[in-house]
Amino acid sequence: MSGNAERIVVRKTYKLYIGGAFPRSESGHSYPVHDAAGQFLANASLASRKDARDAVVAARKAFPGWAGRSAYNRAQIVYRIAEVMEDRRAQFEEAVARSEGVKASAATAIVDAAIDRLVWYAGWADKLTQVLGNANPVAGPFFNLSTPEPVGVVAVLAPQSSSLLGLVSVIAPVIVSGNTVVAVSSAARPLPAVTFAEVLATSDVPAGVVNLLTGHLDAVAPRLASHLDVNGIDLTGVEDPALAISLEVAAAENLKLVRRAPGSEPDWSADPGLSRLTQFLQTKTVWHPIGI
Amino acid sequence: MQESVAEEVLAKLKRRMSTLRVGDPLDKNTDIGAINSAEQLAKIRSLSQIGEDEGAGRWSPACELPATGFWFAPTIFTGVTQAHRIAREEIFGPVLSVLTFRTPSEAVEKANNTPFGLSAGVWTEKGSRILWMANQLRAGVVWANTFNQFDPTSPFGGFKESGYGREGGRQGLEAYLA
Repeated sequence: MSGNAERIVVRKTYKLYIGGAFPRSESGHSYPVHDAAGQFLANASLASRKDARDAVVAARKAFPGWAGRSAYNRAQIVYRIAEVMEDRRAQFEEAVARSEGVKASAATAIVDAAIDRLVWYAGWADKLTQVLGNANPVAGPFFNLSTPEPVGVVAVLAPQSSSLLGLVSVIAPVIVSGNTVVAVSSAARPLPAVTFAEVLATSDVPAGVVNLLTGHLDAVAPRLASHLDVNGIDLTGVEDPALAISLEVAAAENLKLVRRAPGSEPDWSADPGLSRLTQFLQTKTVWHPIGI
Repeated sequence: MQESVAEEVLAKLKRRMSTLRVGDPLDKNTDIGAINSAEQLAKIRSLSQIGEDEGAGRWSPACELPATGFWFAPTIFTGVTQAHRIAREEIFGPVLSVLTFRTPSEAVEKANNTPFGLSAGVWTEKGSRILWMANQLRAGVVWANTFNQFDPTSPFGGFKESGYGREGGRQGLEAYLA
């Protein structure tokens, strides 16, 4: 076609992901995102405190259905996220290379690791209960069983450096047990997170199970930490110690489970262990008499 | 209480409550001991008064309370709705708020509609219904066809605003391990 040169470029608008839809920030604000070399990449939505509240509402709505699914089914869905990521790996490799300023080979390794991590956590969905739950030998004629249960809506403040592997590593372990998530991406490197949200939207993950906000922690994190309908908060992405302390204080108001901010960003290529899987679980114990 | 049997259950409950002995907590025959402080007693009295003011029916058996100390007679409130403060706040006293339901789903919804979740109790004759209710109830301990059972091998502790961690059982040991 001879008119190619005149074609108007169709640029992607990077939006939030709330309740299975891709809205702009209700504030109408956006902020410029640059690559590792300082070149302008795109404008991302600047999530407001109202967006954070909307995301909590969506996560709460999704919780009973998600927690009520069989562990096997949640495993299948998390595995499906890995499948769809694999299909779009070129897009992820490019986004990671530009956002994090790493070479193509390193970006490939990061995407590999992110996909593999989803598969690993998917496998845990139907094994957690056997590992963490048990029958209790009470001194009486009772059947007594303890099982790990999801805590509910969890706010996840994703790491600032590792824009994809770090993000996947903090979201997957929280949802696989039945929690729903409001995640805040890396502030400076949000684009891989938005692409990840597009994968979630096409991976059988029910609307509202993962909600993704881009923007600055200062605006949204205090709202999530003090929100009375949020049951847990992961402070992994908080680098300012004063902010971390104020978030912990706010989280204490309704006894949220808190994963404290690490001193420095974890090594995401290391064996993740079980701590992120078990962080947002709580034990339920059921008693029933035994008799004839 | 299921609406269709509420009257019958309430009558039996009142009969049983009339036989409870309130008194010296060190006496093994005592069913209900003292309230732990003047402050807590004031809170129970205040919330009970609010229950009455908000229109719930108040009933206590004729029971003698010791002359000195902090005491509160066992009390039932009937006609309580989810909007009543006695259904939303922790009274932490010998006070029972009775709400009625028609279906198991309604019972679960009402039971879970609070910021607390220390324990829950369910009585029903159908096994599959008990297991379903136990799954749905958002509480750290669910007593099914029993109540107020404790054992050092069984973890005790709440969901939501009813506390962190567990005491007892394998899960209770976690806080003591590095």
